[in-house]
Amino acid sequence: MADPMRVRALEQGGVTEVKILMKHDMETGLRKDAAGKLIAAHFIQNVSVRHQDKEVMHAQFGPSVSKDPFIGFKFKGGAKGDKITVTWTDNKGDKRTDETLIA
Amino acid sequence: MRRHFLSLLGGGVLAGMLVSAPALAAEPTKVVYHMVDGLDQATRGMGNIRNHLRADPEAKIVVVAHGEGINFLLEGAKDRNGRPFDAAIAALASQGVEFLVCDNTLQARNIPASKLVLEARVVPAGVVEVANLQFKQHYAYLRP
Repeated sequence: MADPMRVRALEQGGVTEVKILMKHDMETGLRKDAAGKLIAAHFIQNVSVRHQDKEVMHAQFGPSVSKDPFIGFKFKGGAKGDKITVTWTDNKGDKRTDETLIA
Repeated sequence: MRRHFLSLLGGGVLAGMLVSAPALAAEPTKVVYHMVDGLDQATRGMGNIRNHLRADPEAKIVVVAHGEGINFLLEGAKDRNGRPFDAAIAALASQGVEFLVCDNTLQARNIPASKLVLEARVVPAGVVEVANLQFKQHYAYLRP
């Protein structure tokens, strides 16, 4: 299981600001290890953010996204106490879901 | 006979050292950086940590902040030259540096945890964390 994400959601004046910090190596597949062998590509491909049960943000990542990706975005319609769920899947089929409540 | 026994004993001790030596060498240096003095100390400390990791990439570094030392971990914090801390924090965090913030400080200064950068993790007490890291986990102590 991958390391947990840090997720924070703040509602102010009807707009909810979501900030997500993912923990992932995001290997491009082009880097070499100390022995000169290529390190296999390993990166997040899909990120989905749900408010209650409705998807409010979807992102497709490639290998050019940095290690430990950070995403911030805003959406309308969230209320304090609502649930925000973040899920990513990577090219090896690993998956991680974390959630938080809007504050 | 007695001499023989001693040499056997000596051989045993030597073999034991040979076995344990690689295990010791493999363990990374563990260091706790203690931030208590506001943004200038944090600027120095971040520079120290960057240089530390450049010279010794294997080092395990934990930053414990309390009192005025947590200021650089608040969102939007800038050093005296107006450079933001957040990118530097993110860069170090992805190299494995942990940033721990004292909850007693947050309570006393009435700062909600949501004002901290996402990389920071809240611990109940900064001083307890520093003491435990040093005494129980044998971290070296540095105060920039």
